[in-house]
Amino acid sequence: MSADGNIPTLAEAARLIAARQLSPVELTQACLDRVHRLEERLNAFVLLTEERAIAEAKAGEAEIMRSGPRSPLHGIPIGLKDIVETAGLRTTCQSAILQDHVPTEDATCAARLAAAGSVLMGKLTTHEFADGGPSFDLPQPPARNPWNTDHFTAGSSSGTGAAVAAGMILCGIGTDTGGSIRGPAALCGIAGLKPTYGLVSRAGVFPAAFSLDHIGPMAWTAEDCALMLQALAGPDPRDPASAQHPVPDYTAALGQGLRGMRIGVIRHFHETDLKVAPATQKGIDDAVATFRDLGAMVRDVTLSPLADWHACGSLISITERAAAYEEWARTRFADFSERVQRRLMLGAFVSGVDYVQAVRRRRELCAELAAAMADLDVVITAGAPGEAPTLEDVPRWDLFAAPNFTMPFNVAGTPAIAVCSGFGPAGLPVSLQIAGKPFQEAVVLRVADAFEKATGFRAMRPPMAA
Amino acid sequence: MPPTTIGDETLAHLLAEAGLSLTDAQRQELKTVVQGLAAMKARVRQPRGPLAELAHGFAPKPEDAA
Repeated sequence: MSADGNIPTLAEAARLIAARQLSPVELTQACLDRVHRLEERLNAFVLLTEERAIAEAKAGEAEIMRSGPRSPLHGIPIGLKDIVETAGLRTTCQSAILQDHVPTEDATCAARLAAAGSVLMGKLTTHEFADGGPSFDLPQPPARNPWNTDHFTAGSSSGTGAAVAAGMILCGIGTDTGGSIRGPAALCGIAGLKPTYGLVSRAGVFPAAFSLDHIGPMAWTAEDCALMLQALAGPDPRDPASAQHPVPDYTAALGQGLRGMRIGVIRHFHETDLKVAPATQKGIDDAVATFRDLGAMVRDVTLSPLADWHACGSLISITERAAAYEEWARTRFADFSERVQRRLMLGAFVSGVDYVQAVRRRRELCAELAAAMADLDVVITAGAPGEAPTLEDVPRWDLFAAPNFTMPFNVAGTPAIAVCSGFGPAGLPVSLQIAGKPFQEAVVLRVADAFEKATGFRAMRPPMAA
Repeated sequence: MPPTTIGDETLAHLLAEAGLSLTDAQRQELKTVVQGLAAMKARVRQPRGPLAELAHGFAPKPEDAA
């Protein structure tokens, strides 16, 4: 790989590194060259750890030459969303409140990626405390979309989405409370997996809403997400919500095709409840045809209206966020960005009874989804309504502008991935979302991987990354 | 449907209880979203009796995947 050459996927790079045909030092340097060339336009990094990256790449290369790679992530350049704590490295949450915050301990996800031998390129741009955004009144500017820098990346894992799409890193950590992995994946044209709640530890990651927060992989392909998830998943005593569930081989079923798979289309979500743009609709229709061609059985499935899922998740999110940040809201309100101030204000309007009714509704919706999926392997809908809007066109109160397609699977805590399903008239990506049953990430990844390999969308990078 | 408007006195009380110090402009803007919040609150209220269980936290079990 060179700064102006092809960007390998994580999986391709891992195979080449294992075969000693790709140097982690050269790979890291090529990624750094891209950062130097593109960062001024993308704002993907809050903190670039160049010296550390080169040192880790050199150490990794020496170890690989001596005894082979520890894992497919060994020698792979990665980034961490800047709400993930990193020992000895500033973790700011992109907030004025934490500009000098230097943790003494790694978040579990950061520690696991380091143990797998990854090369840390730096801390990535986020909406402040993974909320609101895009904001222009923060210590750093918002990330911009590599497909067109006038356009939004979505958030809150905005820097991860931009950096992966532009080839600055091969994969990175995102977090997802209502769609913050899948939204940027959708608008930046990459793959982003929100795992089952509790599968990946939240320890050491600043919360947005305790019961809706998920940590997960963002990368160019579903296969890359599988490799990254392998390093991340598993019980953690530091996270009280950590699931005691065995971790399978997430790559074992990749490439096995879709013959006999049962796929449900939540058609009313994207055709009636919130009608998507024509390019997104075409992407879903084409995906259904592709799945059928690959031997899957596809049928429609009906759930409660999208707005019900959105209302349930939003009320829970508003309340849990207000609780998490209550002390700073009382004492340092003016130090938050305007967008986060607006979110925190809402906490004053949701009563305890409102919250409990939302949690009770959540239980009903979870049961409804489980019943609807009893004879299905996955369900699909849109990943986003259409192409990325411009940064100026993002609504001031986006929570009330429209429901989003990602929240249902935060409410249910079930795994869901966003993958690129084509391009719209402005040349920006559109996205398909594939969701599965709890702990069935391997099934979700299998379907996503088959879709990516049956279509040509992974061959197209943002022009600026060429 | 919960109330879709809010008076200055009620607003002041809720904000004081939350310990938030807002500007006048923020107070006025906040009034504009009360209707949206009310719609959300209505959507989570279903005909359900007192025996309907509260799920205090979501923790999928392995058998959920069966």
